[in-house]
Amino acid sequence: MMPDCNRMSQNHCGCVHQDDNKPCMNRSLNSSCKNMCNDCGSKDSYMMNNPQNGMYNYANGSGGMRERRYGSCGSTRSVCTGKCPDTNDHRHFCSYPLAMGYVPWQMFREVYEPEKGFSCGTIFHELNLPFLGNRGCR
Amino acid sequence: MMTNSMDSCKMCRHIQILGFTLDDLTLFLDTHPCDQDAQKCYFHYLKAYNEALQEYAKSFGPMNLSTAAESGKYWEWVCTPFPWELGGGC
Repeated sequence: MMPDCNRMSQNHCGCVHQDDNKPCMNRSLNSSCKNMCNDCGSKDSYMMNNPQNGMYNYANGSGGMRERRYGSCGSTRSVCTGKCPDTNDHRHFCSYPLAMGYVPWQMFREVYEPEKGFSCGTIFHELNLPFLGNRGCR
Repeated sequence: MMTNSMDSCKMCRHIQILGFTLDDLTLFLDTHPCDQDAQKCYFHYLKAYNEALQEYAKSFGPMNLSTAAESGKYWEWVCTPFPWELGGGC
């Protein structure tokens, strides 16, 4: 579903909404942004949640602003100034510092016997981490 | 035939377990190619794996082409049942 960029307008807070009749997302906003973001539309949300669809991307704009670029028309709009930390989408993270991931170097130790390794899904005790989808509780 | 199926199933599982162990060791060695303990462990289980495959082939026919024996009479790979055709819930 390709958005019609010509129908999009920009609120004075920098949030983007679409000029259609669809109901607004009920985002939790702080008071400074409430009046500005309530009319963000469902298509906007669709695009925010599908970063792989190639229709937009984020880039650092000048002066600390972040810009959302709509690939279909090439238009660029500022969407977040860091004033909306509670919005329920990617904007939530714009005030966070960038982080680095890491993977500790594995050592050859605590190797299970084949039968146990087969039933555990790994022969390495250190990698036998049963994620049960219940906050680590059995 | 039931005994054969059970034996086949048991041997098949043993081969699967050893195969899994080798796969996991391979993953480790891919990123730790100089780890001699891991290599030693890999070749220990590789030997057991190949022996289990040979033993299976002698009793039930080859499980893979590398254990297809040259009988001179027929191409036994296609004439012997596959592990899942022996029954026994393998």
